Amino acid sequence: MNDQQIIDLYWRRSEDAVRETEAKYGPYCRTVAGNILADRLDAEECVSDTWLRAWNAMPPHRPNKLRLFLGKLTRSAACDALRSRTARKRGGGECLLALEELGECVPLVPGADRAVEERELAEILSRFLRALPERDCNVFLRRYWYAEPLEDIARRYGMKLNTVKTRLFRIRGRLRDYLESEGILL
Amino acid sequence: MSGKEKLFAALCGVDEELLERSERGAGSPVRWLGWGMALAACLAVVIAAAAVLPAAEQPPEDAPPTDGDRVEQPAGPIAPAVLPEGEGQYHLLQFRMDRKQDAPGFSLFINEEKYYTYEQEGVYVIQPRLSPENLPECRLEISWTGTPPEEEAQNVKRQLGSLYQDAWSSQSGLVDGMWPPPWDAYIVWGGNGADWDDAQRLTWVVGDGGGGSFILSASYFTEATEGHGAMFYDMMCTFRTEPEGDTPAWQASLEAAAEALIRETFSGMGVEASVSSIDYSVSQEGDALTAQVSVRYRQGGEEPWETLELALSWGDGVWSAGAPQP
Repeated sequence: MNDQQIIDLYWRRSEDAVRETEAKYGPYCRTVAGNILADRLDAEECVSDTWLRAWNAMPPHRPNKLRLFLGKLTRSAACDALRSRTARKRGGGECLLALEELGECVPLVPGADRAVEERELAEILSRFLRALPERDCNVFLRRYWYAEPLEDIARRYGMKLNTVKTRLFRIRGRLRDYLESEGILL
Repeated sequence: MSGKEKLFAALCGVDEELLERSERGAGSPVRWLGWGMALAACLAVVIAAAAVLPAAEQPPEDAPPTDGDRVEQPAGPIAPAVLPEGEGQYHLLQFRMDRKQDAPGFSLFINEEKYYTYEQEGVYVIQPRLSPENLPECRLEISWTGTPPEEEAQNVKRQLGSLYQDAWSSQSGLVDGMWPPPWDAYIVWGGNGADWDDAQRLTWVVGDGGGGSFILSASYFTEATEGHGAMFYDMMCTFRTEPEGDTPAWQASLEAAAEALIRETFSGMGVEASVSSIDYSVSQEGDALTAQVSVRYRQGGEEPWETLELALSWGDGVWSAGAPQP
């Protein structure tokens, strides 16, 4: 079944919508959730949450790219679960490492007073990423959107592990500089 | 929510087009060009050793370069480019260590206008050209040992413990209040206090890829932390070990062209820059080969880092500034 047909099922409120989504995108969503939560049961719960969010979102949404739409819902659900888990002091594997690394991107400029909403911050991040060379943007997203282990990123792009680490370090520095130049307060 | 959590959460909303591109796999990989390209001197302003090679069949995408692709790199310091006459010349020196014993080579970027280099009993020393009298000495030293990094870090810590009031070491790159190394390294620090003229020493111990270690050690005093201390940090960030064998010809020509363009650009801008990284990203579509060079620099230890972006394209056997001609 193609994406448009699946979306039509949601719009018709057909019970087959979730079954078809699970069949086509279940493994993908499990991978996204698994990278962030590093626990099979939590990831399953997160994927189930994704189907509920998709059911509630369509209609009115009619996404152009269903896969990425579902991926974003899964990631958002996983972030919520991670926040809850962190509050309860439970482990989070690779994702917590990635989260710690992102700490380097937080601007340190005293006097920065421009607090931003999440949507505006997402636009700012998109602007920053679009200006990067394609390879750098890809590596950044694989690490901080997909929470992929560094070794997997290196293998994916045929790079050395140290090259991936160095490149991410420099991109984080550039992101911090960019956010500081925008006067962003996080 | 903490700042990092906000960033992590906000990434959920980035452009789908960017996510889709990252899922397309290897994207635009760097390809080994080897004999597929003719080589020549990179830019008219560069003085570099390069050979003109005959064009030949381009090897398969994943084929490793053959020995014939590599060119000999001269040992010792590379001469800075001759710039057009004018005011404010910017000298960026890539300093290369002569291969000794089993020590691998290394390279480091130095602003030759502000610093000079020399070797002293196997230690490479970088010092400021202008050192006012009656101030503690500032210098950056690079040495090599066959001892593995973990063991050498302990040796260095013992040594600094005997020379300084306080000394500590860390295996982690993230230390409060310190700029981190851009790669895995042991950090060892020694200091005599917080008075303006108290001696400080920051040392990184990094593996050479062959079981030995390079030791990068910056000495300065408290007041100079944001001056020479910051400049030394930037230089240390550009440190890299040279690969076994020689650099592939196409890579050497790209780096030489980029470095000359960087010098020319900074000179034209009238900027005295401290460079902390030069990143190359090469992509190929059909016959068009382009490179994007990102230079992270600052104009002083207390100034924010800025990024200089340069584009080069390959045509007629040379790398040139700008986009490829149709």
